[in-house]
Amino acid sequence: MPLQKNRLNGNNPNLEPRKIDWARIALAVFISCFIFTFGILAGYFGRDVLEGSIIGIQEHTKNELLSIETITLLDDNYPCSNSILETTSEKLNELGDLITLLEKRKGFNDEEVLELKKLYSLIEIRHMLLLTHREKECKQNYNIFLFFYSNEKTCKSEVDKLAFILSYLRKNEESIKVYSFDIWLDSDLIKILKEENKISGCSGIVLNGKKVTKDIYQADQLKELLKNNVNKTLS
Amino acid sequence: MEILIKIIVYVSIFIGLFTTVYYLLGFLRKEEKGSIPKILPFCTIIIPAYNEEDCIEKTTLSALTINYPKNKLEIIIVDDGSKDRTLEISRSIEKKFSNVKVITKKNGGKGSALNLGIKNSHGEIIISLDSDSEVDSNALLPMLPYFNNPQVMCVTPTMRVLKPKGILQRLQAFEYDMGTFLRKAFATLDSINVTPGPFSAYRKSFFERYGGYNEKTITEDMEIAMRIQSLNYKIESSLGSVVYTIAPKNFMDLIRQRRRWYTGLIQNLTDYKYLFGKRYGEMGLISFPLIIVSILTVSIITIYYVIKGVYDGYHAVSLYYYNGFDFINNMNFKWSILTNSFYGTITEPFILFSILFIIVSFIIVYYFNLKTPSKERGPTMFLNYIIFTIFYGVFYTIWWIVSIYYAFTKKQIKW
Repeated sequence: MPLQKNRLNGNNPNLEPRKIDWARIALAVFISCFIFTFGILAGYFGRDVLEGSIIGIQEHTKNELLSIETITLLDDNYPCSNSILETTSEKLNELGDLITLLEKRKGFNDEEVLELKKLYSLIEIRHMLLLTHREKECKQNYNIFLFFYSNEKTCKSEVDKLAFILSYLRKNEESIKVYSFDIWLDSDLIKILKEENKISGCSGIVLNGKKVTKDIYQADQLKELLKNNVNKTLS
Repeated sequence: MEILIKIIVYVSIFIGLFTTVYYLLGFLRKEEKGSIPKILPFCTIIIPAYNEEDCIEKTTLSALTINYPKNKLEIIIVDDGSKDRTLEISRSIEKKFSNVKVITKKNGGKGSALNLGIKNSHGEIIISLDSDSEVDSNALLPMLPYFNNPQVMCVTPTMRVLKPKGILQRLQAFEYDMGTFLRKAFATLDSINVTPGPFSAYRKSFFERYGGYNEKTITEDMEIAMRIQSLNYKIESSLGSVVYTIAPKNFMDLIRQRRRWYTGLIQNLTDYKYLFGKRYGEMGLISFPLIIVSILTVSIITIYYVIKGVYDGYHAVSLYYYNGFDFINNMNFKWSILTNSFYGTITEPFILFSILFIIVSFIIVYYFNLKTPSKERGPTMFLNYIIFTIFYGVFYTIWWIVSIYYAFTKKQIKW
């Protein structure tokens, strides 16, 4: 038996070409186009539903912001009430998370998100004033951080780092309150705060009214700064 | 870059959809195989063995239990110059069973061992049986009706992993289950590109007319399949013929196996490049080009997402450097964020298609395996599928990168 030596293959021009079932190919193309289009449309339909839920979140956020504003006004009637402060702080944190989520979904430059951020910033400042008022009137101690950040891509690593450190400190020290502001937000109040504190570049931190001038590399550095702050105490 | 990847993702989704629909439509073609012939042909099972002292006995004994008249079945063990006890064990089996014959030769590779076996065979039908496989006792008879068609030169079996354990074997178990569907689909489209070593049956006349196995290639089972295709003969797939094979247990053995397979595929596709194109019908126009396209798209997408995942993961973890890696005091679980992210992800068309593919592929594979006398069903298969879904893309890409490297550097690979 001629093995191996006599290996033949079909690279032979005389070999009859195979038949092609064009109808089956066309049907396969048609069905796959149909499923593909259906899948894309289903995705967009889902997005529309989601958009609806985003609008819901926006409305909810607006209402909540207004309710915080109202609650803070109650402070005049019930001075030094802990429940008012706890409720407003919690809500503010929650809304901050929601705005972050909206930023991710709709983008940093979405008009409605920017409007919400403006409103949020105003309430933050209102809340901060409430705290400073309490420090004087109720003899409560707080360490107030103002965190200025930019959403520009080149600033991402620096901003992420500082946001992480501040968020970590806030979680672990009750006396720490952090208020974040988008540097580029078209808000007169933020512009004033920026100018007052001489904020420029990607980010800036102000601790209890004083700008933190040295570069922050670790959470411990901020803790150290807090310890050195004579008027404040760490829990 | 992200836009380019998205385009590749959606193009590959469309190709995946087309492939699935196209293969499924192939089953609309009625199978013409007739019945088992009244006069059964004489069959020869050839077991090429190189250093297989651990499994040669089991493999041969499984072949001996095949439901087929003993006077019409011979088993030839070809010892390819083993350095262990393979020859000794084979000789002891030969003494016990009159239809077992042992031949020994200088090491020359699997192809040469099979060719020597064919040379010494008396069968009208030649069946190769890898020495790390165990054949089901009812595997042979369902293959015979296909040979009623004189155009059929080979019938391939349904392969299963023998008692899969651990992640790697379970992953391969589902891959083999999927192969059952794919091989059947390829058969309906006359596009089978490999006739697996474990229990593929050939017409001996093919070897006599067109020569034996190619001894130079590392994947002789691919070369012979492509040669059959190149001559416009048919290769069929028999769902009822189950053979169990020992799958590699560890990563290095697996990568060695795949390197051999995939490097062999590159080598054979290059040698038989003329099979691409209209002249070879749907195989040349669709099936073979799809192999290349799927390799490229799966690899590109996996590489991108693995790199992105590692980068994002590194970024997330590296932030903990700033708090002295205090993971415990930084825990912050919020249900609302989790649900919102979930809804945001689920509405991505890419994710929707992935879910569709996951469900459909499992149903298809499960359905086809119901048609085979398989030992594994339901929960075990589902577990294998979960492991397959999670890990396969990454493994597949690694195997291909290694194989492409070996193919282009022309490094030598042995069996």
